[in-house]
Amino acid sequence: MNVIPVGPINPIFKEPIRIKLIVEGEIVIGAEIEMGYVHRGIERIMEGKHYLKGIHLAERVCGICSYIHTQTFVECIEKVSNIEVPDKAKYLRIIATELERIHSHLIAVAVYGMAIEHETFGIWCLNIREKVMDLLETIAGNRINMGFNVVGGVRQDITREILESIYNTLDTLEEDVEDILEIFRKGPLISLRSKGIGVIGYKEVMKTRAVGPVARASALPESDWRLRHPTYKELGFKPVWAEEGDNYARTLVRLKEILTSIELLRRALEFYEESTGMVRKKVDIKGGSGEWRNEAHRGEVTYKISITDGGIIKRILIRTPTVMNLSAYKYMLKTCPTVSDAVATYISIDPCISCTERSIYLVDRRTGDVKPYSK
Amino acid sequence: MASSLWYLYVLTKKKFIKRFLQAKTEKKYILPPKRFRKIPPTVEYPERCISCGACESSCPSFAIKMIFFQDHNKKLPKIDVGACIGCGNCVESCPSKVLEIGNLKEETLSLPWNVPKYKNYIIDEELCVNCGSCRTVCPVHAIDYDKNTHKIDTNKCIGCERCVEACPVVDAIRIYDEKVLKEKFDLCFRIKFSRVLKEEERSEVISETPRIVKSLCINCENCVDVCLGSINLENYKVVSCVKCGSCIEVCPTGAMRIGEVSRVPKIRDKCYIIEEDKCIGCRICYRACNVNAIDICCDTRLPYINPEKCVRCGVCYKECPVEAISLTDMENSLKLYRVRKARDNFEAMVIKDLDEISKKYAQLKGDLLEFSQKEVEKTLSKIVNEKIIKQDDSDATRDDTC
Ligand code: SF4
Repeated sequence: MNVIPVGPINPIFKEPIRIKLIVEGEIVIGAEIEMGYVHRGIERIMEGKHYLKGIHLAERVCGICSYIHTQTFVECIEKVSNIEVPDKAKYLRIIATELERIHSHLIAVAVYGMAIEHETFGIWCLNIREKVMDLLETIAGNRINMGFNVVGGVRQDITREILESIYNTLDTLEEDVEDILEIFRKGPLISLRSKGIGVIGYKEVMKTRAVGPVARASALPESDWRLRHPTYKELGFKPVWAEEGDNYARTLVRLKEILTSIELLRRALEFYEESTGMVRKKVDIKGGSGEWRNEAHRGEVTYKISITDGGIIKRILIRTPTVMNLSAYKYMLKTCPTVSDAVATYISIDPCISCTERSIYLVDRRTGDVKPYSK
Repeated sequence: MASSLWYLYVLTKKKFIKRFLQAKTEKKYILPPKRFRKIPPTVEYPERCISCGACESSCPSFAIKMIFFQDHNKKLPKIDVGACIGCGNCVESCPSKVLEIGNLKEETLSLPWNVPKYKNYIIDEELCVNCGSCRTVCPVHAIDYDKNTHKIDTNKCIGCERCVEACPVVDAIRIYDEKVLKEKFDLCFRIKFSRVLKEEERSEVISETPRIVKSLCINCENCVDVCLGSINLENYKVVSCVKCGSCIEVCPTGAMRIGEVSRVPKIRDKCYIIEEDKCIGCRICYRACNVNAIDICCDTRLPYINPEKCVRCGVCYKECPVEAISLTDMENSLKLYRVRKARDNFEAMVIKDLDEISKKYAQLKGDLLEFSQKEVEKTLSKIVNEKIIKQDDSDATRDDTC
């Protein structure tokens, strides 16, 4: 029995994390995961700050799915102080989220392609992603950290030309994604490297509370929180799911979700065109505390907020999906024949480490004192 | 090998060949998108800037600094290009619409905006004298008067601190910033935490049940969190109290309070006086004064100001129709007040004495009259009785003799 350390800095990882693979020859038996390389204490920074600064900070929790964090944060505050959002803003939010979901999934698939040594496939995905990023830029002004959401609506409206350019891009995007899906389905290398590898069953998913595409690939369609979101209910959303629970199924779910996102986008754009009025409302923040969940691109995101009158954040608690998915990773390792498969499996859960590590508590071993770490 | 097969597969597809032959860059990729932002924001009309610093306090990335410019003779925002994240907060918070950032300004011109501030302002209703100075100086009309007290609208306030400068009473407008809030939230968390661990036992620390100042409360619920009794924040009432004093410790704005508070004026070397030769005795000032600092003289029936109670808010000065009120040195006004007060006291004493004497005199007079009348009646009846008896006796003897 040997231990192979992977990371914290490794070309295959998007972010620093340390995985100690326990191997017997080439066969992987287990793994130990070590975190704590990129903690930033973002929840502590938010405490005592005005909620508008909180939005900018929430946006920086994750580097890829920045928008959904602001949306969850904002919707949580809206729930606490009972604020109704104008219709236009609701659909604009959906449009931005779904566009972001498409680009996040494309990155995930691209990185998975890289991990199984199919670089071309990866680069194709990234090429398609560029179109989505351009759309996001025309809508919100920035590519990643958009600063688009505010409590009571969104920051700005979109114009006729932007609407048309979204429609046009969606058409080409659908074609491209279908191409990718075809290649993914028929490519011999891809199915050889991913079918039957990293399998996680329904029961193990329930045990580890894995969320997002990981759970949906193991026959758990109700894990999608979009089913419980009021605006998605209006749009008639149906989740995508698979039964196999292996790397192949997870990536397939992601690719298929891009297609559902495109459908949702078309519907949201129609609804948007029908709605009238402002995109942003004057708000009056009342104190209180509450909780809100949303389906981020990797799974469920939870925000718990306690806020004062006038909108100063008293305490905030964020839970991101990767924590649970990482614990599911340990079960997946049982069906990884080689070390490189273990790495590919790790990539297939689409981990986001800087999302996961936000605050740190110091425990003094001698006295047992627990205190939050800041600075 | 497998991937080269797939290259071939894709390269020989009809769609790919068509695209390859007709390849050209689309026009929209050459032109920058129309909504491309100008980052960072620029100061468009420096002469219109009121140097309020709203942009500085609204910037989440600390990219703006107010710096004194010689040629404009005032402070103007200087924007750090490297630190700017292009969020547009400054543009939207600027009350005089001086800043410019691409065409973002056009689109958000009429929209409401809540400004994140480093410092928050809140009016203490127990100290406020309702003079309205803050309301008049506020550049964005964020302060309102609702029958009982003045209130700052947190959403409108841009944090320019002019109201604090204008307010005549020390600490009547409270300032709290993120640092204070964070410390208090921390403290609250620690107290709660140690309570869970059962480390801390607090005995009675304060002497009475604290009250909640309604206008200072920001509903942060820190007090509710640490309270061992119970607090009803909806009605701003402490329902039951064990006098542990934790709530006063953790309240970030000082809304939990025990004991009396006294108003301390900021200007202590000067005070208003009323010039008696100009005063027409209309007593508008007496009615306008919110702190009962004006008394009416017994002798002349003209008002005068008590410098110890006066908070120098200037309401009487503004209201007086004949400009009989002016500002002088504290010493003079105090001297004047003492002289008048002494005279007033003396006058009051004399009047009181006179009153008493006259009362006594009247009473005595009445008593005397009554007494004398009684005496007279008594003697009269005595005389009458004696005479009748004597006459009776003499009559009898006369009868006997007859
Ligand atoms: S308002 Fe002026 S004139 Fe009227 S009583 Fe007061 S000091 Fe005299």
